[in-house]
Amino acid sequence: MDHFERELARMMRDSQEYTPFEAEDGARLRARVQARRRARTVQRAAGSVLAVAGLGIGFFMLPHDPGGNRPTAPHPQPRPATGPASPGPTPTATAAPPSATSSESPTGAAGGPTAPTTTPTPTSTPDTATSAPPTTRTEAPPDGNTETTTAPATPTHTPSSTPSRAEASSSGSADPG
Amino acid sequence: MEQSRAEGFDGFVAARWSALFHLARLLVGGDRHRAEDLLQEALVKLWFVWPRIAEEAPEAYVRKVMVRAAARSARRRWWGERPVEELPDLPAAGDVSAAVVERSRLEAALAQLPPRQRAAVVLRYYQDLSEKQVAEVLGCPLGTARSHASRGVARLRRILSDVIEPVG
Repeated sequence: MDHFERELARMMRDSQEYTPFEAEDGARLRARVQARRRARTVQRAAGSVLAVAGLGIGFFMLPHDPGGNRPTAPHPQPRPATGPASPGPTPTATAAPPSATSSESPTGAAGGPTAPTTTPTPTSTPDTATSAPPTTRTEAPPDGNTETTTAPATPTHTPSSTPSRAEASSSGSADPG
Repeated sequence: MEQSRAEGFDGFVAARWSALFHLARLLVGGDRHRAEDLLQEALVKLWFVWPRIAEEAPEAYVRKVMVRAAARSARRRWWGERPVEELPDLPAAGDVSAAVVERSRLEAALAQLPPRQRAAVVLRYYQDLSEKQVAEVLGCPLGTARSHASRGVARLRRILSDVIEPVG
């Protein structure tokens, strides 16, 4: 440390003047502490509100995925119903499982929209009952396999209803149902 | 609990206010209002950590907070600090005491230094900290702190050459 550095250190120390800690300084300090405390509280509250809002949004969004699947569930049902139209023997086998699942709803409640398509046999709705048999009947001849399974169901309900009309409207009535 | 905390804090502040205020004033280059603002801000931070710091080294904590805040705040443009060729507001000799003149010259010279150089010089020569401690307080490598201090002293040597005459 040379002469200048020693003088610099001396000047820094000698230039210190006594500054008492006055009541005004204390009051100002306390006011600042209070303000900082309030700001911290607000920050904490805002943070927790944001966290709760984020969680709420997250939980609100989550149920929509399974909920979104539910409405789509009925849509696949018409597919098996229309599916039987093309192959002759298989429709009876494929149509049965959906009817088993959907038969629960029609029995429990009215089940207007879903029940008729798959389970026409319970005699619930005449339209669907007629619609189902014709499909099998028309297809039965070419294949000639479903003579026993479909025949008993259809004659009981719609023997005279509309064989030809059902043929024409089979596809049209099954879709809306 | 809160009462004892407040009493301990108030006792520390009352005892060290004058020295801390002078340090703050050197760190900001003599501006009394900025110095008070800087010290108050550091003490507010000390209040919230007082239970942990009280038994250790509260003054070192306040010093570190002030030094870093001074370096940070000086980087803000609204302080409006800019270097000039000549010392502003030179006191007229004779109308004030020699001590006040000397202090004014010193503060005006310090005000011309960049904030980190000024902090390094103040810590090194007013606080008598070692270079390693200066680096620790500034939060920079040892070489950087040494460089800040040496450059600051070199600049002060030029500015205060007429006040502190070199010894042949």
